[in-house]
Amino acid sequence: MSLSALTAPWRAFNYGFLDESAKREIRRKTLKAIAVPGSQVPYASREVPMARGWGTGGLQVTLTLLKPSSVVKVIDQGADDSVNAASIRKFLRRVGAADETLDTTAATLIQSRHRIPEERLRDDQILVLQVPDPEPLRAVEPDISEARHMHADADYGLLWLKLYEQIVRSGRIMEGASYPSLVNARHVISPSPIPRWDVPKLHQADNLTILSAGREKRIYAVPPHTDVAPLVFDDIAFRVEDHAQITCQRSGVKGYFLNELPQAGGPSIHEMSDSHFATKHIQKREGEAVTFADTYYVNGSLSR
Amino acid sequence: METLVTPTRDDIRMSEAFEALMWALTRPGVPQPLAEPGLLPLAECLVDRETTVFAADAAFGAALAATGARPAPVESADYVFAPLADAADLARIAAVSIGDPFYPEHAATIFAPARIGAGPALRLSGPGIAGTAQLAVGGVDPAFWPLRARAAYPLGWDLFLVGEAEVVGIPRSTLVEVI
Amino acid sequence: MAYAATRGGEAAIGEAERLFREDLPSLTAERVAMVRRTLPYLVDRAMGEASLYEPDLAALAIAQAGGDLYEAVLLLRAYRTTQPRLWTAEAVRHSDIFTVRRISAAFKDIPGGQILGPTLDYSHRLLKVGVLSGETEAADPVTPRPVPAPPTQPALVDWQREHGLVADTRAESVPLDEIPDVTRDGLLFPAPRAHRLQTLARGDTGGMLALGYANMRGYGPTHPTVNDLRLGEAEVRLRHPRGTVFSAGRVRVSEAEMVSKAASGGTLELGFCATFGWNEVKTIAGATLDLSMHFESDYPAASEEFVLYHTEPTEASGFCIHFKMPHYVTFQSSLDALRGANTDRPAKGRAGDAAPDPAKAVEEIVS
Repeated sequence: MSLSALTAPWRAFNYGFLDESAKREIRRKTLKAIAVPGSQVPYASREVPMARGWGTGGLQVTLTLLKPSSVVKVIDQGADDSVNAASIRKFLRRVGAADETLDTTAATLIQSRHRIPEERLRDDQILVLQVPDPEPLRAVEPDISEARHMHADADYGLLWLKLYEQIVRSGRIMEGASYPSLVNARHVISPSPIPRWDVPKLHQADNLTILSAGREKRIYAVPPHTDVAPLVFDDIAFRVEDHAQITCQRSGVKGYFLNELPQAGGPSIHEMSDSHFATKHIQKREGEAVTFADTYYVNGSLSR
Repeated sequence: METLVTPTRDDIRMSEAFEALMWALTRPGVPQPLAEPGLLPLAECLVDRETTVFAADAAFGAALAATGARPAPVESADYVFAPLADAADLARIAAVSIGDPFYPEHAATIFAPARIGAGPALRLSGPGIAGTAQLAVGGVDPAFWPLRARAAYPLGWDLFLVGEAEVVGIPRSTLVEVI
Repeated sequence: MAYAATRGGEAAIGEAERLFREDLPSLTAERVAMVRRTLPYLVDRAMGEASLYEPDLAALAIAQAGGDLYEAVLLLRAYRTTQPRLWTAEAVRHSDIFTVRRISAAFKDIPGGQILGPTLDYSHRLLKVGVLSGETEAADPVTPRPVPAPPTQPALVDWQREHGLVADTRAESVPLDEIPDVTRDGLLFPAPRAHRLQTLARGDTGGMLALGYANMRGYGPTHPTVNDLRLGEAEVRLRHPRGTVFSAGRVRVSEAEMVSKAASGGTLELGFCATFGWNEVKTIAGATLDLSMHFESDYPAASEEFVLYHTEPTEASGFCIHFKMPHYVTFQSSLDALRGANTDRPAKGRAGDAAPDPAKAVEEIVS
């Protein structure tokens, strides 16, 4: 046997950019994350050709899961056309040889920053959420070693106290996005900075959600059919953003999460945040054949 | 023009093996077909010189060595490949790591041969399962299940039962009842 | 294969990159060679922070990024991750390093002697403006000493150990294959010593300087002195599977050892930092940080977690610039809570008797 028979032809990088050893590590940690829903699993988090904080955690998971038959959708703030979503999609095209889509219903793998699509994800779809800060305790305990102790003891008292203080001071819970949520009745997670509107979509979902923080080097997961409960007091209900009655200027549809666009000299107008979902409504109105999945919200209310 | 990188045959094999494991753990109790039979491809997609392994079967241990994984005693191995068929097997498995409260992910992953679909019936519930699921498994000593249940969640073993051409995942988050 | 139709976003990022590149000359092998030859300290700094020793690649990264060092380090780090880790080199001891500069501030003279070597320390920092009007500045030739300094130097700490000035801790013997590698493991705390030193070795020079300097100014538990500082070249020695040890080449290295009085007892505590390339300010700051981490202290700049997390060049710079990305979804979510607090205010008493404070609400949103 010669040396050349033992070696593969040189390539600048692997399929999916990451080398096999990096992928194996992400596979190992992903399985542990699925086995203990909501528990943050540390991983080495390799550098990728994008700056830290720009989706490198989500990207490493996507690159590990990618295969030629994948159909990939990338969104940022709900939009496929956001510049960083375009950049990530372009990179995946370069290293992945997979199909791309804007349509949630056609995707097998969805990498997203800050939103869960409005159309209900199926059990064969995987949602990868980019996470800037995986630690729900960061605001009350910045030291990660201390926070780890608190997770080990399921000691979330300081978080409850923070929410209580908000109610006392402001008359309501003031958490915006990244609403702390209890997974499988054991681990509190940051669901990534998705709006409160999206948090109930994680509860008893049909799909697998993998959350990955590249800079902070943590992977965690919410498997399908897993309880996800935003932290609330018995006598104060969890409130999603008050968007149910506002109409999207682009599509004319209402009942979904919106972007507010301030208008010079007047009030704001609103556009649906899930941009391609709005586009599909426009296409439908114009007589094109489009496929919709069921939505998590119907007429602005959560549907189960 | 953008470069397109296509996967090698090994890339595809490893990706298929991992997907079977991932879906198995995501949907506990639902058999996932294996593209290639046997334990080795499942091991190869996970272990390397950065992991420790224990193999009950010496020949399989020798095959694992090619991955670079470091052999370790059963109580400290990250990945344990061992049967759960009888009392002697269970005596060995009892020592396997369940992780620690600070790092529950340090618990070992167990791969055990089993006959999927033939044998005592189990009722499973927990994350990944809508309501409850049923599964018949042969080749696993029923005394394994109470042994497994001794670990207090989130500690515990993550288990893959590997049949002829399919794998079933039972993460530690699954409640298993023998019925 | 189906591609999503190119829309505004993708066209815009393409043009933005072209605008950046248009301001730079074409990237050529000559330009890269010029960077390598004329800016060796910049190349060294990039290699250190990238933890990748390859001067040509480092020079290429610097040229490609137009001199933006964080970009250059990211380019090198992203390249590094694609490379397999094939082998672990044998340990390098102080006394193995071909030393070109070696000083100690702790004693007037030391075994082996003080060797000033190449440095600008005592130069007058006068800008050579004549060059701009056509003069050529060429260095005068060096006058060699009749007896050259020996190529290697003993470690001062060995003498100190013999005389009971530092605790006699011996390096634990770890098989090469089992040395923890921070680029392959998650960084957890308390970190293994290898992780700490590796993280400092690839730390951000500026960040380490800022936190090291904070320690030196008094926001730290130590009063450091330079015990042993050296610049040199180290052989990368590999053990062949047949057992022979051979050199695969040499790398430029810097290392610094800082000392301070130990918290208790009559001994000195040591801090250490080494990095690829010649970068004295980084190793002095790094060794000071390592030294401070040995002490019980409430100073953030002496906390292992605080220091190692916040001096990571790629993570820190990436996160800093990520704030440019759109955050309108999170902002919208916060705005909703803020407006809710305002409109809910009349309906008070719902959650206790204290009146809601809109100023506090704003503070919480902004935080």
